[in-house]
Amino acid sequence: MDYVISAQGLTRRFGSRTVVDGLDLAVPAQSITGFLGPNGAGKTTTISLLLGLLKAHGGSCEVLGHPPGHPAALAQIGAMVEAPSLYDHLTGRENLEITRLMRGVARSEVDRVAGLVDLARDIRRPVREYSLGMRQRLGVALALMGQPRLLILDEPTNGLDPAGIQDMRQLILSLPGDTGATVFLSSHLLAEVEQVAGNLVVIHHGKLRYQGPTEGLGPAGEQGLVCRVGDTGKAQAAILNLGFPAREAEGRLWVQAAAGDAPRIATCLVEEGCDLFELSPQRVNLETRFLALLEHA
Amino acid sequence: MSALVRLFQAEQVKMRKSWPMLTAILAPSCQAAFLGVLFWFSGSRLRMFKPGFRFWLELNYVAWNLVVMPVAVALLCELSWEQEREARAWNLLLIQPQSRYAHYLVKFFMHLCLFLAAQVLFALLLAAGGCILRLQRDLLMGPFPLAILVRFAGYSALATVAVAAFQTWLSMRVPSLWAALAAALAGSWLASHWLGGSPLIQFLPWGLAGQMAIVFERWRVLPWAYSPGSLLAAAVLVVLGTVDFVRHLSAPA
Repeated sequence: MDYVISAQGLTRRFGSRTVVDGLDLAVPAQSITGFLGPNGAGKTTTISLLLGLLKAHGGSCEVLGHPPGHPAALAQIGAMVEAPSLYDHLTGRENLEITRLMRGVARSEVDRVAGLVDLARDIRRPVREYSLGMRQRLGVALALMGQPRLLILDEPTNGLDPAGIQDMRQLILSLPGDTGATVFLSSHLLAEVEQVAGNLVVIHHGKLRYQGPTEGLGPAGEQGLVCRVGDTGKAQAAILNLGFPAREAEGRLWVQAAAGDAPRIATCLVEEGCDLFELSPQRVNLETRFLALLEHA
Repeated sequence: MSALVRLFQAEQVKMRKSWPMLTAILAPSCQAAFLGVLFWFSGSRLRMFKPGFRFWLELNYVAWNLVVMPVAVALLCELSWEQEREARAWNLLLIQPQSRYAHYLVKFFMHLCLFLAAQVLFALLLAAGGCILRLQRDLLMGPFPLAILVRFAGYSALATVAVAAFQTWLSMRVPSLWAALAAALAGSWLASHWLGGSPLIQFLPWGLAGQMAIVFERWRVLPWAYSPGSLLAAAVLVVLGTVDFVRHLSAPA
């Protein structure tokens, strides 16, 4: 497999604190890879190391076949780290023009990227009048300038409204197919990452916890049933008698059983005289799997 | 080379409608207007000094080089770096496919160009102001001494280079308007304190500018011989600033 980012034992310390600790990374080309970790896990530091904004204290790393920060690699990377870097006194178009000039790409790129992030209408307004979401979209537009082979986005949906998040999701999903770009996406919105990323990298306390396909995170088939009943205590006892683990949370019963077991459980509850309002399969989402992974770490 | 040109063009876009640009316009305009008004309403009192066009230029260029230029360059450099800090532009700058030193060099040249443009504006304003002051007969303005204006403007432009080199570095390293202004005033005071003293003064960033006050003693000539020393000091400051910029930005954010 062709990897655009590969790192072995990447380490970075700030004083005596090791923020990135022997990280191994392998990001496949033309993929969308979600980069997850709780606050302070070392995500932004890792991204800074990949871009050459910080120097590693240990390990080795290659981005697009070059060492981090090499101009030949940077020419093919579009990135937005932390918050978008914008000059408030200038218009959106002038901000795009600055990046266009620095990257030495065609003038037509300004209109292309403004259209991609749906900012074409507001591009002549000063950035100080932009909402948080518009600033975020402009930041992504700056990263898209020049059709980079690798796009590194740190929290790209920050401040976006639901429609904006959906547009951003569509844009990110379209990039590998349309331009052949690889997207390395850091976000704390796990539901968003789950919908776009085919691969995941999870770090915690600077150490790699998981790397691989999104479906591979957590035990396979870990699905259950959610049950809303009148008397949860009585229902829980009945379900436990049937041999299914069940726990109460948020006024509902969470039953560890397959969807195929639902009729048996429903019949049992009705026979026991429980008022059954809802019994539906519950998919274990990325958030649950992510939290379980961190708990075991 | 083309990368440097592109970075410079990007800097030009950043300067549109910006505070540094406003500083470069206001500094010469305010000084020329202020002294113009002062001259106009002091006609009879100035008459005893036989003012004339040359005196108008001398007074303006001495005030400019000793106070206004150092302060305005300090202000311009600080506002320019502040603009980058406010935009959190380091990340954006450093992920562009250019060597890091290029960003600093271009920044310095932008500051210098802005202030050289301010010098041109200043010279034009002085020429225009002097012509208007001819209407005030007490001032005995006389003919327009173009050669003197060109000489003063040229000297003044040379004197700006080392000041811009120092203030570009200082404001990159110490993000404080007060530090920049204090350094400008202290440096300028030091340079004027050693007026006509040791030739080592040429290596002080404000040294060449400080020597401008010599023009009041008309038997003495401007110390043009100091300009290579001043430019050498500017070159050293630019190199040190560039190295420091690259090293400084490698530190943790």
